[in-house]
Amino acid sequence: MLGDVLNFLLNQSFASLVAMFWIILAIEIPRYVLGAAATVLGLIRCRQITLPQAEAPRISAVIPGHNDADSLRKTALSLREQVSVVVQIIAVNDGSTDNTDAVCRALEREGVIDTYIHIRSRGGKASAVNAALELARHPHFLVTDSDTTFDRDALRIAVSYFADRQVAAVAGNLRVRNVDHSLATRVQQLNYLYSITLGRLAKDMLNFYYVASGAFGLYRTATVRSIGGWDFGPGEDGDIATRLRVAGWKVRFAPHAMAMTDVPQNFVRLARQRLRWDRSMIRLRWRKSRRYVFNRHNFKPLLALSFVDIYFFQAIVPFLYFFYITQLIVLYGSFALFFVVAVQLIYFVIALIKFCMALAVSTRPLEDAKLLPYVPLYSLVNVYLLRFVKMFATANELIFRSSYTDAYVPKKVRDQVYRY
Amino acid sequence: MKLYYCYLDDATVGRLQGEPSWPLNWRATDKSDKADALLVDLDRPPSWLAECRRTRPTVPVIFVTDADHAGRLEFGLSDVDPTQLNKLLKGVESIADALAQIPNTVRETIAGDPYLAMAAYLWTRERRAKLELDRHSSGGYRYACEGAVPRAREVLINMAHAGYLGREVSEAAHCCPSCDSLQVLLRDTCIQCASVNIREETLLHHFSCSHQGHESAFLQSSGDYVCPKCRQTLRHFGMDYDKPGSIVSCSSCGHQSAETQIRGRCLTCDKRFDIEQSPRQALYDYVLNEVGVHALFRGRFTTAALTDILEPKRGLISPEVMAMMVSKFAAVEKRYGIDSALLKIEFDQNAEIAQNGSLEQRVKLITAVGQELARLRTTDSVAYHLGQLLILLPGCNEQGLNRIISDFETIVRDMFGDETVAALRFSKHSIQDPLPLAA
Ligand SMILES: [Zn+2]
Ligand SMILES: [Zn+2]
Ligand SMILES: [Zn+2]
Repeated sequence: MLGDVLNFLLNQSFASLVAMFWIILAIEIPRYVLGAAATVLGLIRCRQITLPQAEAPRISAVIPGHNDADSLRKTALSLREQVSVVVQIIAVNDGSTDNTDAVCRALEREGVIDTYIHIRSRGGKASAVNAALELARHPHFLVTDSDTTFDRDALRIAVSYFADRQVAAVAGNLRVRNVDHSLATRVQQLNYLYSITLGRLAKDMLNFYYVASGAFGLYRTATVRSIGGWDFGPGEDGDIATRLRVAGWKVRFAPHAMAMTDVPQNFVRLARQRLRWDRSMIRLRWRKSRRYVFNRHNFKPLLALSFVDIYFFQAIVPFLYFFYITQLIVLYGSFALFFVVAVQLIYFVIALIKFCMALAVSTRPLEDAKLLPYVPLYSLVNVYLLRFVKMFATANELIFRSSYTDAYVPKKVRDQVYRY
Repeated sequence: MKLYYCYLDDATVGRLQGEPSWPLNWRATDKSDKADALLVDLDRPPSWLAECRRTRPTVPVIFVTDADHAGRLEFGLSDVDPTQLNKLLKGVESIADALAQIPNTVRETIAGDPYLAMAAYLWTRERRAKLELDRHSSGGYRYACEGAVPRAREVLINMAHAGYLGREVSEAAHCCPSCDSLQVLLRDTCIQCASVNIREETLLHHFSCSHQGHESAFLQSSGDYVCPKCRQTLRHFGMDYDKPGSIVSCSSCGHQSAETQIRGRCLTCDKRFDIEQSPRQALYDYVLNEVGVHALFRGRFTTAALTDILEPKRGLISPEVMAMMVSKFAAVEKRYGIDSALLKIEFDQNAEIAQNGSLEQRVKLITAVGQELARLRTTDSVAYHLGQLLILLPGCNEQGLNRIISDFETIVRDMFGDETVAALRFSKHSIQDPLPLAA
């Protein structure tokens, strides 16, 4: 059987091989080579960052919480553990109906948080963050969420990027906290290594990077105030980074500034979470941000290019891959399965090489090395689950505009948002 | 227009720096026993003042003194601002008016009975004895009535227990168990050696090697935590490590414990004590209630219930019963020539225990002595009244009484120790004399 396949492949002309594997040759290989080169350069560059030694940098941190009292306490405690930085912790209770209020008051009494804002009727993350921005005392402003905890040196590393006076936002890296929970969580840690650690490092190097993380985004307080704070979500964190880039600021990614978050524990929940993310991504990229990116008076070629990149891989590649599989089936019938396997093998090899690069960047290489046996499963999940979700989200969003009814943003806010 | 009189003498006028201003309806007088208020110099009070206050406890005394002092007194007139006299006199009119409401017959007996005196005093002061914190006063607090009614604190407690006064918690404190002072340091100390030289340290627990130790052992100069056992860096709270609590180390004895002990030290007498020795104690404001007002206007307080203060004092009789019995035995002595004796036991005012001990301690101690004596000699009757014991010894003559006193001293020494017997003063009383019930 395998012999038949090899025989078949060896008997093809170069042109027909290209025709058979065009998606790999035209899209995946170039992207991978460019990404790898950028990653290596990025690695060299981020090693050059020197930590400031003089006065401890001061940071105001906002933790918006909606019905997640327990995890909010963990987030606040991990911010209290930060070294070499002074942190003002502002907890915002965004219309919770559980015991968040009692927990926040207790944290305030214990001196874990400095400021507590109670918004009685839910206004969404953007309004919670804006409320905290008013009360921020320090020159740097951290936006996180109530499910994120930080390495002790995370803020010290992230804030050091502001030594460059043109940097207005720094995104930190993310790991999976509940990585040992299940197969799904291990696969997601690999996904975080690839798409966040490596992906963002490469984009950062290419100056394509403009998504400040919602879990770990550090800003210049005065600058975000000057552009009017956060706009209504979802996808508010990508939006503010785009607006900062448009205003001429740099947005950086700090791979060694590490935070952790819990991820969905099975694949069904994972698919549901990604569907929500991808929808808001599409809406933000296409409907909203294109206004400032493709603006004739203030056109920024790099920003536009980074947009095309995201849009291409987010929205078009999944369709192309779907088209490619369909084409193989039409052309080769049941024999197409062997092509799919062959393509999958190539993906796997690429994933393996990227895995080694990820270990070089990782803050916990020993723990990540244990994920090696899950790399094949990851490459399957990535291609067949996550891409399918992306395709579905894109179709759904472009055709039905469904993220306007996403429950993540309360209805009263959704109703007031101008429909782009 | 009703006229009021204020006693004033030349010495006091001389001290005032300026002309005092008088309300229209007030006149100065030199007859202190008729005056509605007395204006005297605090530093040179007239010799008769103490006696005058004893006989007229309710009379408002306006002391002329320096500005600092004036505010601490019930009525104080700053010598540099005599115009304030006008306001003070207007304020004390209500005292004279309230006093006038008390029936004449009662008013004449006030001086002889501390309960009547206290009730009359409170009646004229809007019924209220307010606790004021004052570091110059004994125990760190005072009541304004203390200057007018002798043993005022004891009288207030007794009257409250007997139901004549209502009381409201005004403050709470851990008082010095030895001198009752409120001025006490309360602080965490080493559980083992009571040293105050302790420090609290956070504990750190490294999950992967399960090492647990002081935070300082992990902390590097860079601010990072490195496990002293396995040399790993602890990066993430909740993932790599947690802080399970803290531990207190004593620098004096080296003892380590999760707990500390609160101990006190008295700023007045330097006594060091465990907090258990000084339970939280309420300090009260007292208010003359309807029962008290009724008793005042009738001119009689029944002190039967007063023997029940603090704890039931089995074997003791009430002062009323004692008074009745004494008059009976006095009649028997006169008619049949059978002697009876009355013995009074009280604290020597110079004894340490009388000066430093708390009121509660003194009452407990002397009533315990009384109970023991009543138990040992069933023929005797023992009553407790305002800090003193009265013992009626039927059929006991002069020589017998001397012997009994020395017997009693031996008993008290055996049961309560040398210190107590030294602090007590035994005195004989003829039962033909009025009972020494008034303070
Ligand atoms: Zn003391
Ligand atoms: Zn260790
Ligand atoms: Zn000790």
